[in-house]
Amino acid sequence: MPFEYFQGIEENERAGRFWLRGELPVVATKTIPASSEILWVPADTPGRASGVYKDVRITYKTNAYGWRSREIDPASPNKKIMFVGCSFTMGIGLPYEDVWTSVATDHIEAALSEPVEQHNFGYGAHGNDFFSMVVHQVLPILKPDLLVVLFTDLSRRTFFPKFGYRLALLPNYVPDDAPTLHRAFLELQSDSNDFMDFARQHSLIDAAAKLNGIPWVWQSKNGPQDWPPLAETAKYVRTDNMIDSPFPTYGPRATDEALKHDRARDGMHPGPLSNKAFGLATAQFILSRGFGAKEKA
Amino acid sequence: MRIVSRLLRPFMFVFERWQFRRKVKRLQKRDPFIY
Repeated sequence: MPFEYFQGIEENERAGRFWLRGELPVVATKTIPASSEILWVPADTPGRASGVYKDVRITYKTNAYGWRSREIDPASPNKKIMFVGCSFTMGIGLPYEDVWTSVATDHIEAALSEPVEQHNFGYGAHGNDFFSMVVHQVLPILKPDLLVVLFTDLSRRTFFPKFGYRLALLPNYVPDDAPTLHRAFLELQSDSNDFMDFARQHSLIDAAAKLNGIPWVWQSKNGPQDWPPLAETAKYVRTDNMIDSPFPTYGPRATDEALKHDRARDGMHPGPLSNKAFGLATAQFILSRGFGAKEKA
Repeated sequence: MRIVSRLLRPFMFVFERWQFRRKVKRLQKRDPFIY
């Protein structure tokens, strides 16, 4: 294949570092820059502010790579938990301390009576293929003690229109500069292909975790409705490490009266109650699997 | 058979468009997020 097809590949090293071995992927953009504190993001804008956080000052503090997370210090002696997921994990419309990842980390920290670092690699709008890329790149560098993945809707895909740049494709958002591409994405979608992609990304994460000797647990933001019956799903992906309770149903479909109105500031994402419930369930599942028990004993 | 399929072709186009719109609606309901 002639080399000119790959002209500009060096741009990936400068701009995004996607799939680049030994490097952390960069997600900083003009709207969510690296090493900054911003008050609003594209999905959580002043015009949409409502609910319990309507007048709350929410800060999105990003690290040097653009993630809403702390800086990575490989020399740190503390236990580290790495979280990967979509906007639910990033905590759109929520103060950082109310995101399920913070709830889980705090609970584990209290149970172990030792400092535990949360490394949040959640990023809005992205799909499971993006998560597996993040795990593949970050795991060998960060070397966390545990990995937690909250998978998202199976239809989402990441597209690289040119070297160093990514475009998140999801059903409801039509990018201004790529409506035809979005239409093509919708045309190509099929439930079967989505499930095969989920199996592929899940297996890649499992392989990366095994290779690096890091235990991992997972769940999906919509819970069991995202996959075929568990017995069938288990034929394709590992399920013994699946967090035993799914992310709570919130909004109009919720059975609990309080969860019906449990929304983040943007009026769409899950609010504090569902985040707290899932955070605690995750922590309890992790602790029940003996996380940190060896050292304690 | 060829005549029948030719006659049906315009309707297949309408049917496929309807199917596509139905699929998109279902997908957007499943994942209503824009972020």
